[in-house]
Amino acid sequence: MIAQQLLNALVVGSVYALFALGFTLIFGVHHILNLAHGAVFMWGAFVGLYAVTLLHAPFIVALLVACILAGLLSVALDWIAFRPLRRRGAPEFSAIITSIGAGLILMNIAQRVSQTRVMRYPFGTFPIEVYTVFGLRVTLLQLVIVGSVALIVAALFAYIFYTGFGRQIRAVAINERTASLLGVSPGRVYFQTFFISGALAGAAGVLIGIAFNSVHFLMGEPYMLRAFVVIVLGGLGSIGGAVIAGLLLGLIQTMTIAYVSTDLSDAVLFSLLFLILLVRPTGFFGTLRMERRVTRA
Amino acid sequence: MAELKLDNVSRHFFGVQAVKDLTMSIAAGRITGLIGPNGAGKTTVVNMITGLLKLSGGRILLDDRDIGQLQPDQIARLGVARTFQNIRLLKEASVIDNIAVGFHVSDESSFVAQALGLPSVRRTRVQMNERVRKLLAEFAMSEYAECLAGELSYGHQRRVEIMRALALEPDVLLLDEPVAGMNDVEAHELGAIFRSLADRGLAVLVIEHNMDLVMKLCDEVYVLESGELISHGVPEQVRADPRVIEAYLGVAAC
Amino acid sequence: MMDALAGYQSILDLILLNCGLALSQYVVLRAGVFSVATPALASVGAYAAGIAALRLGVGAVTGLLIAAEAGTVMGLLLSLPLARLRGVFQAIATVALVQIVLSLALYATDLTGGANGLNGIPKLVGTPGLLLVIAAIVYVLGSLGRSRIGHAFDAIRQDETVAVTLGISAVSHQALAFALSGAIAGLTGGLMAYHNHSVVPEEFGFNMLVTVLAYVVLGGRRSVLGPIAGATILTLLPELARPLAENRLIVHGAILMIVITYLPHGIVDTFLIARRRRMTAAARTQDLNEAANGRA
Repeated sequence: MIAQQLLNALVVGSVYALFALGFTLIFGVHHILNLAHGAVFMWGAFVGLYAVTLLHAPFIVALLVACILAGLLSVALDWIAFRPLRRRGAPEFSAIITSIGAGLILMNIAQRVSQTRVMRYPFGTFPIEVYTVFGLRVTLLQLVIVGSVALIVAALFAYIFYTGFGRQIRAVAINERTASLLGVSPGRVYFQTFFISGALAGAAGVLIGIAFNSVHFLMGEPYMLRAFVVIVLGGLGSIGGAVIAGLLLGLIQTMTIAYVSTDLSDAVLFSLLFLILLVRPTGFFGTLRMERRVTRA
Repeated sequence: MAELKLDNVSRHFFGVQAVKDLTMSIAAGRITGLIGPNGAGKTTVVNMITGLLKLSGGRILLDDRDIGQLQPDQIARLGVARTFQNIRLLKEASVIDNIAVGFHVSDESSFVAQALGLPSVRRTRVQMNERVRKLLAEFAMSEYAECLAGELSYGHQRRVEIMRALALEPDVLLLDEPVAGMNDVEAHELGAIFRSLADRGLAVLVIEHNMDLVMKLCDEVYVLESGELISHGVPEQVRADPRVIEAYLGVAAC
Repeated sequence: MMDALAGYQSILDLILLNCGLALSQYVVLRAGVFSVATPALASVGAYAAGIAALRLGVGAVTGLLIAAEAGTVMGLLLSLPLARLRGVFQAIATVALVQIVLSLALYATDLTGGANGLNGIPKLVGTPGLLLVIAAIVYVLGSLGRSRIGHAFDAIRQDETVAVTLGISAVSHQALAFALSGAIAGLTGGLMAYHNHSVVPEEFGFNMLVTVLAYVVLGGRRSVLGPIAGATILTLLPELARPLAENRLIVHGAILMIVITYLPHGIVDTFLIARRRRMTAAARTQDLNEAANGRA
């Protein structure tokens, strides 16, 4: 019934939001479309799984480890892929291409490591508990997912808008050159934004991995495509926008699958994306950085 | 030939009034100057004339034809050419290739001829190159034909930009700080070229900070400050106008 | 012996087909349009050709014409909404399009055969046919590239604002680029259908998108030889060594990263630019000498 579907939508949407947040952060602050984000997400899931299966770590520890390592991976990505381009003053086209390349490499390594298998969490990793709230069936996992995302979003908001570091990030988002002239070290900002972006992706990866009990090297791809919809819908660089758009996306997808057709859910989603790009490419909410030239002035 | 008229033209950006109720005209055969402190809105005016910015109010007329709603390429084809404040050349292309882009509009090869590589296409290209070389000779830059634009001096790059605009064979030429970065000798050489262009019938607009040149060259001058017209007339009038002096002419006692 | 020859022939066929796709991607990139819609356009062409052959029994030429037309129409339709977008947004929109076409192909089982695709298409095109069509495409693109349209594409790509103030209509040239890209992709899709006996929807997905992009990034997007070089090299690479074939993703990925960072113009264009520099240096010396002599 519809309320149950709405719950599903909430859970799915939260994860989309979490995934999209890291992506939109990098785009909003540095105007880099990091198409390797899905690969970082996937590696977060891998690390989480291996922490549990190989190191026998408890779930919460695995989650933390995955966040940290994914964050570091993301920073390394910036160092190896994007920094050389910045040094050479390359156009934004180059950054997109190199991120595609980096993503491919990360996926291939994961493919070899996992031997193209779909991996699963061992039984009992996460307690299976079901509650009945207002007649709805809610699992502990669902609560944890939605709860974690809410916590993370709040923390991110606080960080960006209420701390000194956050101010630096916002300054760089508006104009990197000016910010550096004012004493902000762009290098440190890049480190922070990429680390946070990676950590968010890693968290999303672990949560998705356990929610569907499936971890494989291609798991990032469908999320990347959905992330496009989220950032376009929510506005590039907008944190609030990414959250709202993520939830909205979860809603649309869940409803389409439940009431229309599973096969068409993709087509519906991307047609929506197309439509938004035509009507309002900058999204519906404000951005960390003001207007980005998309169409003629 | 052609005359360009601005009638009560305005433009605002999110509450900032960049240009307010500007009325001016750029007549054929004359050199019109547009001066004012930085940020006065001069380049905005040029952007509006050339169609890169929409008007918030007013009309722009080319020979009594309203061009305010046209696309930039349409306006260019009607004979309105411009140069840019910060030089926008293709640095990696040769001088010839840069100027040749301006001749694009006069190339009338059909799609089929181009797709099949018919000899007529080659002939057109040869003709274009001839015309480019003629322009280069006029500007005394023949030996730089094959140089990469990025390798030229600032002054020479400006000349290439002007030649590119002239390749359009325009009726109206809008020059945005054409002699910036040049020494007096170079500036006056270019000034003489502008004079001869006006004598040929072009309507020339010069936006400049080089007061010496503006006073010597322009037939009439408009002064813009914070988007509003504060003075207009022949150079001597404008120079003596207390409002202009107050705005920025300062101690030019000559 | 015959087996070896047949092996070479099938590689040649593959190279030719990949060249077609690469050329379709090249046209839009040259005009400064960041569209990656080629797989979607090729898919439409492939299905059109396949359906025409299977249900209407048309011959190769008619079928390919239908495929090219389908691609052209779709390309033109695409140019309308995409005219208002630039850069990254065009890319996102066209990635979405590839997904949409893929989903629709999987869903419309009656028309397209769904996940199984179309099978049993007669083999109407062999190596000579492929050679002929691709050669014709290369010829046309080459001459367009050297003419007014090609120079307009270059101007728009390098500085759209300047191009527009010089009377070049960005909108109509980009529409043309889309139409050409669609025609070439559609045609290539049709060739794929008639050469491979079948049309499988997954072939025209994200993998193809990335691979085709890699062809043009590697080869270059200005000279028409760029996509050809890129497609040829990347098609041959897996054949040279087993590890290269098994780690296709890493190879493509590494090539994309290395080329875009150190040789952003692609190998063909970098080579041509260097050669041009040597030539103009010589010409310039000559000009200067003549000028000096003239003044003397």
